[in-house]
Amino acid sequence: MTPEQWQRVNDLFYAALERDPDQRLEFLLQSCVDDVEILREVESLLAAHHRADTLTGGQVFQKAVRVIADEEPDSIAGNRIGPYRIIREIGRGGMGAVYLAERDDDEYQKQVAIKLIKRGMDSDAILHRFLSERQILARLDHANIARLLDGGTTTDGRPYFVMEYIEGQPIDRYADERKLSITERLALFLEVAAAVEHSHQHLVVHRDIKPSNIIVTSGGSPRLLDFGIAKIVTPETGIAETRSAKGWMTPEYSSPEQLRGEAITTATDVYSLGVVLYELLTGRSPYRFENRSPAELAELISSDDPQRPSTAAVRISPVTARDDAPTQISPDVISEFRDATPEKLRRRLSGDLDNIVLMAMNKEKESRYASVAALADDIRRHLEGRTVMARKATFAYRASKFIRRNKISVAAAALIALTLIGSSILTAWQARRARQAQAQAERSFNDMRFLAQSVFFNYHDRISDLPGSTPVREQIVSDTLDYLNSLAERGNQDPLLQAEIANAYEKLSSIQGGRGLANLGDTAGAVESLRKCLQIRQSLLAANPGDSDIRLSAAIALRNLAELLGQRGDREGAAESYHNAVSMSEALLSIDATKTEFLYQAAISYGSLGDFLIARGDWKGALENEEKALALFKSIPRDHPQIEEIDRSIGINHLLSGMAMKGLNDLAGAGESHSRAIEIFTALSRKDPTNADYRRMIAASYYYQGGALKAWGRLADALASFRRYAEIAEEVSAADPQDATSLLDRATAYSGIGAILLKTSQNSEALSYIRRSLDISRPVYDRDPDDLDKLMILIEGMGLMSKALAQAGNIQAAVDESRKAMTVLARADENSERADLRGTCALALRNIAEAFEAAARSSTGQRKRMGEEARAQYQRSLDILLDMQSKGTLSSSDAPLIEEARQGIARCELLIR
Amino acid sequence: MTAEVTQLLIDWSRGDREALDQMMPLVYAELRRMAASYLSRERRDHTLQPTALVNESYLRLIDQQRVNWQNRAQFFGIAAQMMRRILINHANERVAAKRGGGAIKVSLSEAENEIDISDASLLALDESLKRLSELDPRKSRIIELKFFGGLTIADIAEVMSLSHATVEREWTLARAWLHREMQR
Repeated sequence: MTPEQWQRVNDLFYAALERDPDQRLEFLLQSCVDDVEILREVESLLAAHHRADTLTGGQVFQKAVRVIADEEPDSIAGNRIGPYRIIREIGRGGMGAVYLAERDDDEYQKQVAIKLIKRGMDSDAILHRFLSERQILARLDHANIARLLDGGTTTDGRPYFVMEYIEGQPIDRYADERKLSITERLALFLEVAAAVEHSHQHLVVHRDIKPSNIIVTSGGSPRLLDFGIAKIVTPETGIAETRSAKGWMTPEYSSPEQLRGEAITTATDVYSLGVVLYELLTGRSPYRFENRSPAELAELISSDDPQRPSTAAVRISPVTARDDAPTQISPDVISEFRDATPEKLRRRLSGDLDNIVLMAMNKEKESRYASVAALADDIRRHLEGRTVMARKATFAYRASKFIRRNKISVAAAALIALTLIGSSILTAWQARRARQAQAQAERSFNDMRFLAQSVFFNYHDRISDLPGSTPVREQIVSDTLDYLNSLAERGNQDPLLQAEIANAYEKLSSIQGGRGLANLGDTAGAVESLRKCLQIRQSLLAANPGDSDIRLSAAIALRNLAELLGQRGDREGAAESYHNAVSMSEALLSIDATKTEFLYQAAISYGSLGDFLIARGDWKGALENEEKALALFKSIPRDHPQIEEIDRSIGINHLLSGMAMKGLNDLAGAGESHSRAIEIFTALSRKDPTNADYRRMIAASYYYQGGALKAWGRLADALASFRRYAEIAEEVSAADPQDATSLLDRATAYSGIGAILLKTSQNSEALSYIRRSLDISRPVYDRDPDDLDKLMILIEGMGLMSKALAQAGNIQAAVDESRKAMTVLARADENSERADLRGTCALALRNIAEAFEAAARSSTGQRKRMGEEARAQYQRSLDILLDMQSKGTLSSSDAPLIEEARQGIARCELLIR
Repeated sequence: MTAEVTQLLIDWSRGDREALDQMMPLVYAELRRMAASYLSRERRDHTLQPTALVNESYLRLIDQQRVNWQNRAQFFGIAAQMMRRILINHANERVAAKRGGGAIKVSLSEAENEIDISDASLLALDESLKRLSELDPRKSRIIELKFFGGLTIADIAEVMSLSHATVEREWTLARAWLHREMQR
């Protein structure tokens, strides 16, 4: 509903209330001839008004008072947070507290620090900052950064995270107390720089680097703490999207651009590191801050040049000691702390170190070191007695300019490294192939087998889970296919070789278009490879029916083929393959019903059949098969070496059960199943953070959770789930822009977000999300028009676009978009048995009809023609829905769509008349 | 204490976000103290209503000479939001403890006739109110002040600087809207 429409609803509601109850309906009918939506809204509000008298809020408040009075604000139930026992509080701020805690079970005696939001303090802004810190820490893994160990939510819903507990002193105090020499101080500082550099490589800017956030352990290892105001920068620009968080940072260590509230880049951290280094070397602050207002400070930092460190260290003037009253700190004291005399200290600092510190602290960020790595390199050069860059300011300036012009994002650099590895493999392989071509006559199959094994399996497997590997893998696939085909054509009947050729085809297929894996999106090629594989395996089985290894691998291949066929819309082929896979698995269990591998494969076969039945809308059948699968999985002992793989499958079981429950309108059950799935995948991903598949499964779980919550009417929660889904897909996509699955995930997520925003009438934001979705789904679909998933995402987006444009009042564009959508819809077989595709079509047709209906209402001249088109599309939508209902494939939570379509038709009849 | 909270309120209204984070624990402690004292009195005298809770906290914490009406409105808003969050967290916690709870569709008016309002109703109310705030922030503020802050229509009119009639009208529609949404 637009603000204008809502205003009208208000006006009509109050106006109607002033009339006699029996005259209200007529008044409304007269006032809303042009807008049925408003009529319905006001009517339902009037109806609710008569029953709303009891709603006074009194009991709500009474209860609130009781609850707050009983609260024990800062005590933690049972002194426990999750599996941790609280020892004591070690720090507290306005919004949260940090506790020292210990894990109860025996294996973990380690002490940890837990950060927890206070009760009642979890406002959206604070929650956002808190979760962002947790997310940032999760990205980082470095010896000099306090590690994120765990995270979770307390029973009362407050998020917390668990970090490594660091016991030690702030770096400046540590260095003074141990009287570290300048060289020792530089060595310590280099470790800090490495930590900051690591965080920059992961696109995180700390923004609050200062001595109290750098704790040195008694073992002498510094740790960077408190990413509470850190920001993630976008890889393309290297700029953090939001401006500096004024009021949160520490002005003494803030860069001029930070104080001015400008965009933040990694150069900000270079500056703060410069200030820390200044103080470590000189014992003094570069600016004198006593009794100045924040505005004066900002002015001072922007305009004043700090004294050279060599001068500052021996300056005779009062300074404020760290946490005491102002005292006189003499150059003698400062020098003594640095194991030197004032004169020795001055000479040590003048020259290189003056230049290095002042370059890091340059007011113009372009004139600072281009990166923390460059600053660290220069310090190393100084320590090794080589010429430092800072001395040659002009050259360094030019160099940093050059680097800026040719900026390579960290992610891109990683990709290049990978490509180099990949291409050297390929070059070696190609050279070998050339040699073999020369010696074709004596070509040995054993040699080929070695090639298939080493090049294809080993190298591909090694890179397959890494983001950014797609181009290399694509090359490997096309070369391998040539190679296998030529092998197969030679007709050697050696069963061992045949089995290996089959394996290779299977592997190839999964890379070409395997579901769920980072694949290359070529499903037609994948089917072809898999059929070749099965052909070979079946002839091997015909020759030797007792070979359970081959039977097992045939069951797996059948299942994969079924999935691929289903994905491509060949439902008969898919159904046949699934049943073959299930009977192949049952045959395996009849050979040995205790063998873990057989149990596992049978479970997967049931689970996949359930998955297939969900796509057909057979919710009951799906839930039954998922339950069979779950029981088999749970019968596998927990000490199984591939327990992660089993857990992953159990996670998928929960995910699918949730989908089936949604179909049966058990929305609470669905929500719970999805939460279980998210828990399982998150635990897996935490153990193996580089595994892209787990991340994708988390994303998928959020997607379905969002759908269930949306059907439940919990729109805000649904929106949060979809946004989380989008975030994960964006991260995967950013790391590997060519990966097809995460592209589709993004398109789906944006549509989902757009649809909810439309429901809450945030039209312009909705439009921009839907547009982003279409920008992805159009080209992706064009490249592979046989893939029904892609078609479905495109249809959903186009339907939403029509609705969004109409809802925003842009009627002509909405009509144009609707016509375009109809041509795409024509490519979908509305009679297909894929329930999700049919449901999507019905919904898109409904949205299109609404756009036509809006057009009919907006212009008298077109009323009849547009009204008829609207009626026709409502009718098509209704036909599909009714047919689905009669076949039992309509999700119960979608049943209200039928009534909506009927009402649409009735309204159009009135319009046309 | 009064001077401190007053200063934080003024700083926050001038855009200092940290001030809010510092102020919230202080307001929270006061609300809690007052609530406990009401409750102990209520046990002796059942006619005593704690509706003046937020007003009294305001009078105790804020130096009236130093603030303007916007500051006052901001204070009441913070207090009502805080009561809301605490209540909803509490309800969430209990629903989670019961694993699912079961009830999906609930009616506040039905619940109002019972001795205690159910957690599921509270969560449904919170959800509906979130949607209302996207559609019409002013109406959702009125509900928040009334339901969670315990303010009367007259208090709300004064706090929001609106006429009594306007608040009454907004309240009527907002209540109908909530009632309908919670039935869905």
